[in-house]
Amino acid sequence: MRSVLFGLAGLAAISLWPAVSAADTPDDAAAEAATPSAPAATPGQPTPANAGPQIYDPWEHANRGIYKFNDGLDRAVLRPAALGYKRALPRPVRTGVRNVLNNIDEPNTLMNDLLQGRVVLGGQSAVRFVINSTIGIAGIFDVARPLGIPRHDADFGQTLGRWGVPTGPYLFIPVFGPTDLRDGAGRIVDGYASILSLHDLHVTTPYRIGITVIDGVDTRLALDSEIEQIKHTATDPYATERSAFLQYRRSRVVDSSKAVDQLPSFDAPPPATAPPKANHKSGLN
Amino acid sequence: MRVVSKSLAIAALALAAGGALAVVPSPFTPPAMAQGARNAGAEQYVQVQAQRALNILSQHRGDVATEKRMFRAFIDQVADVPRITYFVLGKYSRTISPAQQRDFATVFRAYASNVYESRLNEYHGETLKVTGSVARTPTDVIVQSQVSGGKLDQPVTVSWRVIAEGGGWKVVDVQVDGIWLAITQQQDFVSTIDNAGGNVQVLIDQLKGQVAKEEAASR
Repeated sequence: MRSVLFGLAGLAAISLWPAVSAADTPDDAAAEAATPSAPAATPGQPTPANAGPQIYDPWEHANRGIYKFNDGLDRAVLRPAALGYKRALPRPVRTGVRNVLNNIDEPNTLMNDLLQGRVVLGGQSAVRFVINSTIGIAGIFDVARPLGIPRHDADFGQTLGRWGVPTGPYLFIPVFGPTDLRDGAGRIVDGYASILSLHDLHVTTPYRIGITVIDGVDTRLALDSEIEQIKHTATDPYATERSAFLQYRRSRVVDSSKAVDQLPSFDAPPPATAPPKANHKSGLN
Repeated sequence: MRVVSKSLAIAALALAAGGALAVVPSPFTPPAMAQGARNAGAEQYVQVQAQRALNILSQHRGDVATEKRMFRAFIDQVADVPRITYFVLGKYSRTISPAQQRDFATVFRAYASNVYESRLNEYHGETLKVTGSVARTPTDVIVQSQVSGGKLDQPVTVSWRVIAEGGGWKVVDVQVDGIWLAITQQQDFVSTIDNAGGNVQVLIDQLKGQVAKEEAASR
């Protein structure tokens, strides 16, 4: 069965790239972002060992323009659509929709697990797909999870990262948001590799567009409180999203327990500039 | 995108969780272990403090003022606020004047409190289990944990970076799904200062504006 699934997943046809994987895209951009040494601030200054991972965003000017445009689009269309979707459908229905979308993605996850040499994870994806597609009624119910087989993500951008491909420049794409060159390309491959691209399934372009739209709307809804939080609290929402995205993708490629040496240092502030003490006494000292 | 922002929010929650009301003195293991090894003292510290935080956060008293006060007291006990305050300025931490540093410390405290306090009521019986740790140095340890239950669909991996100083551990950063909260905060602030031509005062003024707005809204 697994080989059948693998073969299915490997078939390619036309597909809208982020149809199924909008939620889990980008990966490794941060791989290079986490270089241990940060650039020196000014000549004569010590190298700031406390600087976070480097950001490679050579197209920042254009990206920020797109970000701003996208923000307007979000206010006018994307967010209202997501909130309308929430009002229109009760939560159990929306959960079923999300489960179906996740299940469609499972064979692509399996394929990438195998490309990354993660056979056990791949086996889990295969079993999940079989159980959820049948007992779970075409994926509406995630019956594999209560059986102890939780969902995990794998995508082609991640595979490329694990093969050593660097992320390349950061990118902000209208509607779909943050990505980078490697992971954006990976998304396109994921779209082609989707089971929706299978010829025998006869999923026509209008259906694929519909699936993509529903996926996007559901994703936007799931993110609503987080997006609002960033917009209202970050001093530079663009930079905050970029930082979070690049770190997240890096974490998908690099085992974090092996990357602790690359973390920036948390130096104690020099006494002269130490912030004022809090009113309370510390209970730990 | 989805996972990223979700993670960011969970990271905020995690810090708030770290920010609950633990008052128990930390068990402190003398730094005897090599780099890369596990550190039992740090693990125990996180297990006790973070679970305590989650427990207390899950009891909603309905008295917002009391919850906020206890939250701030907890943060001062468990988080190394001076270190975090210094860290989030990144390369600018070494170049700003002492007066600006003090100014920033005050407004950053108010700003961060507002950010996390807005999420204090989002806990519903989550439990935390420490799963391991990796020592960068004997006094700088990343403790890994899994948070599950409550309103979470799936267990969430949360890592805590704790630093030992003066006989106790303190939390300096929290990571959820690969995203470190303080690092993200630093990259937010440094970008803002970069775009102001390196003028830290622009960031301080912006934070003051946000805090004032928040206070006006909560009246």
